[in-house]
Amino acid sequence: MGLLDRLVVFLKIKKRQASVLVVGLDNSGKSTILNHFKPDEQKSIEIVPTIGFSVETFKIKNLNLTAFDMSGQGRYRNLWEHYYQDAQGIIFVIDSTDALRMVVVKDELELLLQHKDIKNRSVPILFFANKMDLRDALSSVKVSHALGLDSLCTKSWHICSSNAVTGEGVREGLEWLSEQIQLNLSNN
Amino acid sequence: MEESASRGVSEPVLQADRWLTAYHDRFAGFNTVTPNICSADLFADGDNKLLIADMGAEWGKNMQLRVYKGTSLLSEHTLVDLPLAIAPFYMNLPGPKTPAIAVASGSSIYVYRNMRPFYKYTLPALKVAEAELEAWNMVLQEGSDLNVFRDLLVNVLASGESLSAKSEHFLTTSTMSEAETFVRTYGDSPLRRQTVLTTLSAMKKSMHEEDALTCIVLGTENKDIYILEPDAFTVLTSMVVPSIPVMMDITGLFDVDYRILVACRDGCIYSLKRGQKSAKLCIELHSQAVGICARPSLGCVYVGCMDRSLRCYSTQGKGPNKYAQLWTISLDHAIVAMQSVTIKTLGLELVAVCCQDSKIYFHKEKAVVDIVDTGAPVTAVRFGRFGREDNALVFVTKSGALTVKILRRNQTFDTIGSLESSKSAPAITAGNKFIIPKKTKLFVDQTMRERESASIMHRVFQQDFHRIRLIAARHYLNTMQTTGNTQVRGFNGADETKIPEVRITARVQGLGPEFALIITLSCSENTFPPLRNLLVAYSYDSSIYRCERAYRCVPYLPPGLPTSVSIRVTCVSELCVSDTLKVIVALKDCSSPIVTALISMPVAQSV
Ligand SMILES: Nc1nc2c(ncn2[C@@H]2O[C@H](COP(=O)(O)OP(=O)(O)O)[C@@H](O)[C@H]2O)c(=O)[nH]1
Repeated sequence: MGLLDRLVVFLKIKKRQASVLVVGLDNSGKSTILNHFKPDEQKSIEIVPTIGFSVETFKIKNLNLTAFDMSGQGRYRNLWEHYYQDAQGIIFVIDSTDALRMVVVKDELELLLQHKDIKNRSVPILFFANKMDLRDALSSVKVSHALGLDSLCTKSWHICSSNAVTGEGVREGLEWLSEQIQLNLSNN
Repeated sequence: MEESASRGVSEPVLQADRWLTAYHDRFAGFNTVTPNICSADLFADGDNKLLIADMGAEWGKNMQLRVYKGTSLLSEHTLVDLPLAIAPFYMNLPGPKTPAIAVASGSSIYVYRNMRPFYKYTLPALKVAEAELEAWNMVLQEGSDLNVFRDLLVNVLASGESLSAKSEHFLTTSTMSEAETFVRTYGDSPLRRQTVLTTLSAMKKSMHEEDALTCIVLGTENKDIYILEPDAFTVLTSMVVPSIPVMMDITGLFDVDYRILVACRDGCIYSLKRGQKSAKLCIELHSQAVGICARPSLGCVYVGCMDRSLRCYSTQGKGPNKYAQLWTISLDHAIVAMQSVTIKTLGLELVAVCCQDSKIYFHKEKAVVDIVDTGAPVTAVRFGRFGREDNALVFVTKSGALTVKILRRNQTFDTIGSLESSKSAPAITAGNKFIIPKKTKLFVDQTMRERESASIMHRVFQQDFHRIRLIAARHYLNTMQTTGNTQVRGFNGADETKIPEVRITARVQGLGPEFALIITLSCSENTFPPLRNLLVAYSYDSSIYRCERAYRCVPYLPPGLPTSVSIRVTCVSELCVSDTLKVIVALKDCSSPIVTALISMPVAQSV
């Protein structure tokens, strides 16, 4: 499935590289979402050895996708925060059925936004309120409210409900993200 | 590295900041204690559910076992008896490895599987004393004397044996007819002596894995400790403790080696080991334990006592060193609950001490490393995995509120320097010898002298003491005379003290018939002593004017600063006349005025 086709084509014309981070708490559905990107013909998956946290990286032509769990304490944070500096876009996956950990997501998001490599750059953030098919899932409006996205005005962001298993809602979100990245790269 | 440091500076680490409030239900209405809370991965999906056995808002009414999935209530199960403790345990059954829940109440353990009632285990009945059996046999025969029967039962009690519930009931009857009815109605029912549970806990059987087979450990009012096998609920081991067990702390595996520390009602802690039939006294608390948390990795056990002390005993070493007290700190408030807090990701072993002052103190050894405000005193607290979060702190307060807090992920616990030093101060190291310095010669000489001439020393001291008082009194008098009192003396007596000069100005505001008369007093900057207690009085024709007050008092006239008083003057005359008004400024208690002024009032406009 070439969900990011247009972006990839754009990058090729512009001879540019771009990387997108896929972040979220464990069990939010990151790997499931990533599976949609993996074009069968070009599976170049690098597996980074686990050093207390695991990172999944792969490449579609000029586009790098990197995903990791935002879990663990202090020590390993620096390792994954290292990826922030070359991210052109961020996909933030949220398990919308996990109301208990919504505060943790909010906390992580705040830390991410305050990070020096993110704070003063224009990085579009796409939020997936994932697992929308489940009964106790919060709506995307409720999720954005819980995360305080209403007051997030320093970044361009977009939230959509998704079902990572069927791919529902994923395309819509990625289209927005591609547009934003293209916009940013053309401006530079 | 740099980054985390700079974040630490820009965001001051507040106590409350370490924890995120994930859930708070002020009206949850819980009435429960620490052993009645647990979390378990009920459906083996990696999402731990929270189980809370509620003792009912009205103690014994509407008792329920509530199961929470994240922030939502998953199910409620009515309990038939007051819950004492709950524990998840794994049985050896086919199918997915899901834990069963043991709810201890009364003399039974109710077992739930898949949150459905599954089995009820009742404690083995105890032997009924021979004498009691005989007594009942006798009373059931014709023509027996109930008084003799009563005495027989009392004798059984006196000989140190316990009675069955039926006999105890009989002894509570107060009248003869009541006793007769009781014997007639219940005489034939079998005698059973049943004890009740006092504590319940769990121990892994042969492997440490989370979902490995678990034994149930329980303590009874009959001073027994039983270890049950979870599949058939047979007693694997039974042990005795010298007093009634109240709480236990278990480490180790049943099949390998284990140690159970049992805090008993006699204020002692006993240890039970694999292969031992009876308990060994290890710690005398001289107080009741509120909480007991063993920290095997640190080789110690923390005990919170009712006398507001948090103590730490060694669990390592041999002979007298084993169970020696390492330290004691006395807390400012009574301890109400305790819970061990193990933060694996940080490699930290803390103990959470909930106090009467509605706070939870996190102790790292003696030092307090964090404080959480709970709003009301905590009655039950658990730390562990809840949902998918490993570091969740769940607590219920006296007001019935349920709160779940989650440790922020970028926190460390070794940065509160100031708190540490202030809190660890009142350490009492019991058992350690005081280091007393040797007596010097000077000290000995001094002591001798004090002993010999005590009365002289006392007299000399008293003399000097009186002398100091005299000097102080003299100076006081001197000061008094040179300041405030001068004036009084000056004006009353024929003294030569100058009358300080006071200037007076007056303004009249308004058109009438009401006027505001503003009088400003001032004296020169170097007036000393400053004037106090000045009176401003007025003299006027009462058929024309009326003043709101007969005089005004100026308590203090600061040198060089004009002070104003304002009075309301009303012209009461019908005719449009005006008159003069005399203002007299005098010192209080002094007959002659300092200064007077005549003010001619303007003509009042009629209304
Ligand atoms: N019902 C449902 N399940 C999902 C959805 N997205 C992910 N999951 C499930 O959630 C679990 C965790 O997903 P995973 O991608 O491994 O999460 P990660 O830890 O963030 O990589 C898996 O069992 C997925 O099947 C969704 O949209 N709906």
